[in-house]
Amino acid sequence: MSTTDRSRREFLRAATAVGGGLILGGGLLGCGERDAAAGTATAAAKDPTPRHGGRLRFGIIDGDLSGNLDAHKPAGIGSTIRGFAIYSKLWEWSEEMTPRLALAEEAETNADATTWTIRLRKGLEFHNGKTITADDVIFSTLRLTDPELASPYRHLVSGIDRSRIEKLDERTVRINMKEGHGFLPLADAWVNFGGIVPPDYHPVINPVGAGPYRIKDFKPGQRALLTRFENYYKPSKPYTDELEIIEFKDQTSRYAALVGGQVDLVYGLAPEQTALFRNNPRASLQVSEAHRWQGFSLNLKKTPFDDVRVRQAFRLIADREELIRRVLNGQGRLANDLYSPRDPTFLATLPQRHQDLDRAKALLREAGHERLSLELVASAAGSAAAVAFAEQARRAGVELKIRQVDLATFNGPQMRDWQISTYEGMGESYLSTAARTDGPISASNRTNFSDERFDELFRTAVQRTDVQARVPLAHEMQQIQHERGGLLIWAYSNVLDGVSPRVGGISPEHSHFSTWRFENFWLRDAQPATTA
Amino acid sequence: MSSASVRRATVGLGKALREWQVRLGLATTVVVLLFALVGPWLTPQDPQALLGGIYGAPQRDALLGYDYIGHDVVSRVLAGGASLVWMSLATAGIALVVGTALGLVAGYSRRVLDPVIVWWADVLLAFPNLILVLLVVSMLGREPWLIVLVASVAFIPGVVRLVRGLTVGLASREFVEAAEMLGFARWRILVGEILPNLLTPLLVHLGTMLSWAVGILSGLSYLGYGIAPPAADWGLMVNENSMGLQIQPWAVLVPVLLIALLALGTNLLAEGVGRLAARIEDR
Repeated sequence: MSTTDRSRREFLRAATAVGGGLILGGGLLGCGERDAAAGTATAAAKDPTPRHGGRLRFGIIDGDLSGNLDAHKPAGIGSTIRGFAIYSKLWEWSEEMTPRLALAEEAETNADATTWTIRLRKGLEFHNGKTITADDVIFSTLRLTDPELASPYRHLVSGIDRSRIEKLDERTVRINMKEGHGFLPLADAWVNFGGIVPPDYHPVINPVGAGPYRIKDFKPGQRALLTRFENYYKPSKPYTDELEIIEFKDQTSRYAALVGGQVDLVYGLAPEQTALFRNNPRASLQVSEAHRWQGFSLNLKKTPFDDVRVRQAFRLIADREELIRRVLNGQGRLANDLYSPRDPTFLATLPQRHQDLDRAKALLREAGHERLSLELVASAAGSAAAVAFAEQARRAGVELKIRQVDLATFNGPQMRDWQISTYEGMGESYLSTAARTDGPISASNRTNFSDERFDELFRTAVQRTDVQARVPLAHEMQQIQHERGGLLIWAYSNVLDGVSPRVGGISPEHSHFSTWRFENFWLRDAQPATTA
Repeated sequence: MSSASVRRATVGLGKALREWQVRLGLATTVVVLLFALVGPWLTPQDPQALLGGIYGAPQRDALLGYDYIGHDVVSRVLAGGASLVWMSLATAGIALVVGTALGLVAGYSRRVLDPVIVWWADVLLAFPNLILVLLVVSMLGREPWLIVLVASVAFIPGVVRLVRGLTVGLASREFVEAAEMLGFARWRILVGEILPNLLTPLLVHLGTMLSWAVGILSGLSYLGYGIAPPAADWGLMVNENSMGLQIQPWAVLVPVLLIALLALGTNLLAEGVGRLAARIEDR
């Protein structure tokens, strides 16, 4: 039987299973052969020893983008995920969503964070066998910050002085920051998009990195096939011989592929799908409390949100508990209009805001906006939150007309012109999030929040190397955001992943990336490749 | 209308109803239209109110359960057809009126206006209907009137082509030449002499356009470019609830069934009228 025949048969079996599930309410799924497979997997699940071999298949959704392999200018989340497999960085995310050293064995900053000295580990190699040196770090840094490349992430490391990156020895680099641009969370900023690549790197014809897998075949918009990098810097990792990243256009078909056995792992399920995993022998739901924040952006440069009373009124209109229940299907925790709850500088002592329609109406009356009718712009992902919030606003006498726009428009230059829009972000460290979101160096400040005192505190805080020294500064910043900022943050949401019983080495985290740590995963039914 | 016209229309309707496609198509269309147009007044709950749990199962208060965010599905189904119906009718109607006018002028003038109108129609025909509508709606927004306008623009070239072709043939017939010799005004010849002879093919084409309009407009909503949430709309319901198909299928299946019935009904109607016209012509 050819592979094609087998694949077609597997597909038909899966399609029949899903179709049957529709008709029978899913009750009769999982007969015969599949039950046997699930049983074997359950037995193997008791064996925690990683096995080498096999092909891990990872299902992603990347919207309408066809994606690329660029280490520093990934197009869409699919490209970022592929980047995690192909490229290694100086830092990586820990399970607590804090940066930890990866290719770097040491990274030190001076007292005011204006200079970073980074030393590479010994004996690091790229996929092509070339040793990784300080020159590669310099090349990669220059490429990431190159205005001609125009990486959308270059502003995160905009403090780097491109003309003063020094090679101290073969493994050590000193990165100087521009005067007055001390930027403490360099690691946070760099950890997603700062892949180290050699000077002959090219994202199309020579996509070489030092990640756990090297690219073998890439069909944009469809799939990427990667093979194990034997000289990966983490001993004996990765475990699987191959990694296949398969793109899907919607959640329904991807779920069908997971339960049908066409993929082993999926990232970022929709909250509505959690019910599908109850008593499901084919796949389990993995919940990571990742603190992705969910909110709305209130544009301070637009009427009526230029009036702080209206901003406060909207924050009191939100029934956060109901939003969590309806929009996140309970997969989230209450937020108090502040981001980064896991940051050591987080201000947790502020009183939690709850819905108070009377107070909200009074504030709107005071501000002269008793009858409000506004346009709420939502991305497809934010549509449910927009619908639920519009209904809550209606109870306060505020009409919110929803305009759903595509992702390109949502993230385009018009974002700063909308009165109110849905907004969500990752749960990284406080200063990093401020730098991205509403701080003075943010390139995508949807709220147009600009506050002299806040900006001053931000610029001082990014030059404090000691966390304890940053705490009072960050607390005052958060106090300002809570009182007069432009974000209505109603929840911290979980990251939901689907995992086949045949996958080992995966567990929930406080980060977004539990399913992106490809080097850790192994297949319980793996047969090591036989050598000829 | 004269008594002779009424008699002719009654006889025509009687003949039409002898066609099984017409009977079935008419019955299906009328039932779905009535459901869609009367439904908004019969909703047991506010279709936009958040009442139940997400994808809540059917129960006594909510016979079809709840949708992705807790709306009552029965209320959304009852309220969700009106937009599709009026938009489909408006789309097909605008396309019919404008396309007929342009086609008549093009077919009868056969001078400067003819190539200009036909050229524009051909250019528009080069764009697939759905792509043209998607392009404009994604750029300019999702206002219902805009969607109707753009969708009708996408249909106009087809009507122009049809009417122009028939007009060219009719313009050389004796009764038209007689009207010209008697010195009738051009508009009177077009409206009084040529247009009545186009009614049957136009009726058939209207039915086809309605089916297409239902398909395109519900397709637009499904793709997220039609009616904006939180409005109730059958196409939008399919889009919003597709992820819950395996959890609470009624929120998808019922609107899909109604859309299919409406499209099928108008299509059968058009097919039946077309067959009848062909048979009469053969005689």
